[in-house]
Amino acid sequence: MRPFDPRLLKAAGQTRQFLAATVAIALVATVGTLGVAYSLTQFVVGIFVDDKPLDQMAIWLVWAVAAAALRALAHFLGELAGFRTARGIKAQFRLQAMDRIGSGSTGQSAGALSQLLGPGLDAIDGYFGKFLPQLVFAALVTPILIAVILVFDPISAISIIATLPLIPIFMVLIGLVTKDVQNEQLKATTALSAHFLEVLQGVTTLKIFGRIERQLQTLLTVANEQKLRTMKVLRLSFLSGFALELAASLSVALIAVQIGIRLVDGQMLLSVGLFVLLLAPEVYLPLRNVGAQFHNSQAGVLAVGEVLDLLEEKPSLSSEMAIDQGITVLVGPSGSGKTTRLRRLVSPDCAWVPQHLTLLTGTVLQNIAGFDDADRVLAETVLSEVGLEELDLEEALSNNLGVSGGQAQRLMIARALYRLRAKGLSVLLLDEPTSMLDEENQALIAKLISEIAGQGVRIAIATHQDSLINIADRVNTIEAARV
Amino acid sequence: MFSLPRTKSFNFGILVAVLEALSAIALIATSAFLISRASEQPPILYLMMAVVGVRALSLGRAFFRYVQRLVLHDATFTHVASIRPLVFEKYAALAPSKIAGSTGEQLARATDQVEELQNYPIRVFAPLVQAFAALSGTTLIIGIWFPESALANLLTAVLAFVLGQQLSMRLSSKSEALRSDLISSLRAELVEYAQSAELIEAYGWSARFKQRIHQIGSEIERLDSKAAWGIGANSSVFSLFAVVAASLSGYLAAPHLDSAPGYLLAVAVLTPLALFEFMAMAANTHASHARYAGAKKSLSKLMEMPVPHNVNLPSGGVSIEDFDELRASGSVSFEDRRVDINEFGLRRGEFVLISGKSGSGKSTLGYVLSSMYQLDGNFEINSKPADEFSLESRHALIGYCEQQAQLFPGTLAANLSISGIEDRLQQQAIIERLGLAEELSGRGGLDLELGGRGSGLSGGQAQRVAIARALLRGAKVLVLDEPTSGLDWDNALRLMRLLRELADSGIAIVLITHDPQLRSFADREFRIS
Repeated sequence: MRPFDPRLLKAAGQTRQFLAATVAIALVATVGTLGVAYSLTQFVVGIFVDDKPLDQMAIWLVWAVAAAALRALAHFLGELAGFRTARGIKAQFRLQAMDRIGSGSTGQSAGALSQLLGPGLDAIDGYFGKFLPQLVFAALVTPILIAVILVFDPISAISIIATLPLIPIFMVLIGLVTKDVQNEQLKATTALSAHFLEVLQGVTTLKIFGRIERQLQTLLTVANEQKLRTMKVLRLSFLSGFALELAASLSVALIAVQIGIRLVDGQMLLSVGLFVLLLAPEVYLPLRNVGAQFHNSQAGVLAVGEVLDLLEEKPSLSSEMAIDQGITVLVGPSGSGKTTRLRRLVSPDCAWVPQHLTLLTGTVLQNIAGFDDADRVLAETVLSEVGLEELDLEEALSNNLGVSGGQAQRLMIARALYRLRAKGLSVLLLDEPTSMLDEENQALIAKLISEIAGQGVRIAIATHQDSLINIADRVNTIEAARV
Repeated sequence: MFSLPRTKSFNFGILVAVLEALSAIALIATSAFLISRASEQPPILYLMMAVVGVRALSLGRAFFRYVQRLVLHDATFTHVASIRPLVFEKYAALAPSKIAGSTGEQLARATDQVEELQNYPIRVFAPLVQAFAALSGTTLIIGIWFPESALANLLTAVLAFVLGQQLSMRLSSKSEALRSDLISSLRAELVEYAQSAELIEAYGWSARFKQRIHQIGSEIERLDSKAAWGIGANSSVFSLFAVVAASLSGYLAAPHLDSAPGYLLAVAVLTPLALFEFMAMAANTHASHARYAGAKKSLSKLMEMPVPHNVNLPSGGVSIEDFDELRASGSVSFEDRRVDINEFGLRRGEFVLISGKSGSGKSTLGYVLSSMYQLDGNFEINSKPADEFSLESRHALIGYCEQQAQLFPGTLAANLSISGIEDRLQQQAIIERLGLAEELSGRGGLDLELGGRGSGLSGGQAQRVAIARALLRGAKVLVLDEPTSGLDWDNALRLMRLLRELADSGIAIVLITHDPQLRSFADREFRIS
């Protein structure tokens, strides 16, 4: 997986500024790191080698702390900038994604979308706040420090340069091996959670069927199998951490040893040796941090990618088609595209009853008239027209609560009628409006639709029920969709 | 129960983690010693130990790290695996009361919470132990020659740790709960909008939703911008304190160089630098700890929840095989309400529809009849108190089908085998009787693989599988809770005709529904209020 999605630069302008700021911050942090190493070296060498008095050398400790403060401040500002950028991008993505969702079907479930745009986007925090700064540091700080070491002690620099590429190469190799296994493991972990969720959901049924004892055993067996699989993956993926640590600590050890040997031979000054020894771990640090944050960053990259995919997806365009006077019925086998045809006709100038039961959280009145000023009298009228006099306008509803499927369907028809009358519209579109109604209620709705047509409203209905086909002025048969 | 795995392998993992921390500290101390001493140009023989030590410690550090991570993860997974059955058992004991009948989202949270438990051993306990080990090691190494330096280093480390913890704790714990509430309501609003986006846009109602979502988003961002200061400060404070500790240590060590060898000054200065890497990790455990603590709290609450007396059914020893009639009269009490049942009766082959408003207790009556709730009052089967019969045989006699048919991933045959009847001939016979065999013959029949919750089947088919399962087990009475919800009329009609046929063949049917359209299929209606 790529560590950075280049589409981000285009989609979110803040990213560019953020990267520029991080480069500046990384340079300041490098100055701090060099300052700390240099000052501490001067102190130790001054006292130990040159036998200078403490009060004369103590100033170097002050410099060391000052340099460390500068470095800490740079890191602090870097993270702050990262989180700030992440917040801006999250807010922007959320709004853009909502516009996109509103403009047409996305092919993703509401649950998946809410996961992505809610907690899913939080992964961007760690990505911008922690991972990207480290990536910039690795690209800048590491080469600069190597260059400095090269100036002071070419031999150590060469041994660092020799070991450094091993880290990314090793990581890539291990990454290639683990990628498939890792996906496998993710699936296994998800499957374990899913299995646990399934049995929790089915607990009543399992209890009735006397299956609890047996399920306890199964839970353990399944968990054990998954653990074995997960550990197989972890053995590999910890190996990449092992490689990083080993390369870093071993090369520091090797540098220490060869510096030590040159010091014994008198080929080197302690001031150079100590300085290089202090800098050597700092060369590896950004790379190690990238490695440590890599796993976390993946969620961020993934979330960014998914949102960008969503935003780039083109909504199916709605095309204006003429609807004839009277009642037009679309028939055809399920899956033939009746709903799609009807959906294309939906425009701001029509009232539409969608196929799926769609009740919003709110009162009956809000479900009919929307959330602003409502005409209660009109709402009562349309309710009684669809035979729902018994419903109280103030009763609270939500998508699967409060009323039966048949009542919900009639409520949706009442909602369309309200809009038709309140706005004086002349087009009514109905998608399987009576699929959950018994014969008596089907007849009631068919009669109502005929009356509305008689008032000059043009009506299109997708249905397979005779009660509605019988009142049609024309029937358009749609053949099964061509593949 | 929810804290640490009490196993040998976990203890071993912690021991290796301690060794990792000690190796890291020893590595930097030895390196500092090596080059400092080398600059005095002693015979190389004096340095050989240090040369070997530096190499061995660097290898050891990486190796110990690898081993401790593997061992600790393994032990923790085993630990968490042992908790899942406990949680499930508790849910089973509580079923079908409100908690066990929680919504899908609540159950998903319980599932996540069990996973969150692994945070403590791996991401909280181990880093804390490592920091303690590193701190002890550093204090010891520096303290032998320079006690004042060691003390200053110790105090700086403790100060940095407390400061770092305070920073992340103050900024997170207060807002953590608020934030997760906000995220939940953000999700709820997003679900509502995404579910009905087409309708909301078509009716021009979107401004309200967008504004609400934007508002919640801004509130979350306001919290986050406050927290960012803490997170940022927490991660940079340690690199500063490391140098402060190194400087203090060096400053206090310098005057002692008359009595101590001069080359030890580098050791006193450099060793604290390694220590603070571990301190930073230890102070960063707060977020993991908060997640663990939240999970532990709600799981403990679940485990300590008393099992209500009304799901604790007495069970006699006598088995009941046949059904003539039953009578139920009395009440079921819950914490916040009571459901009264007035003279409910059912005879062999009778089809009774139970109606009533939402929350009136229709489902409770269903659970009473299928011996899931204990009735305070009188419940008789075949003119004998129901308690005289064994619970198992009562469950077999009176089958229960939940609103959403509970099917499990696996084949159709495996789902039917839950009834205890694994004989394929009997299974085939029952799915033929219910019209499923014909519909599914092209898709593998009994061998059809069902996904979670019976996906791959239509709602009506899933209901018939649940009915088949109950009939296989020998049910003479079927209790069905809202079996037609979500079905279109054609499929509802089909299911009703099937139930009517079953009733005519002698199986008593209790249909719980709030759809008045279904009345005509039943012999009579029992209204509950």
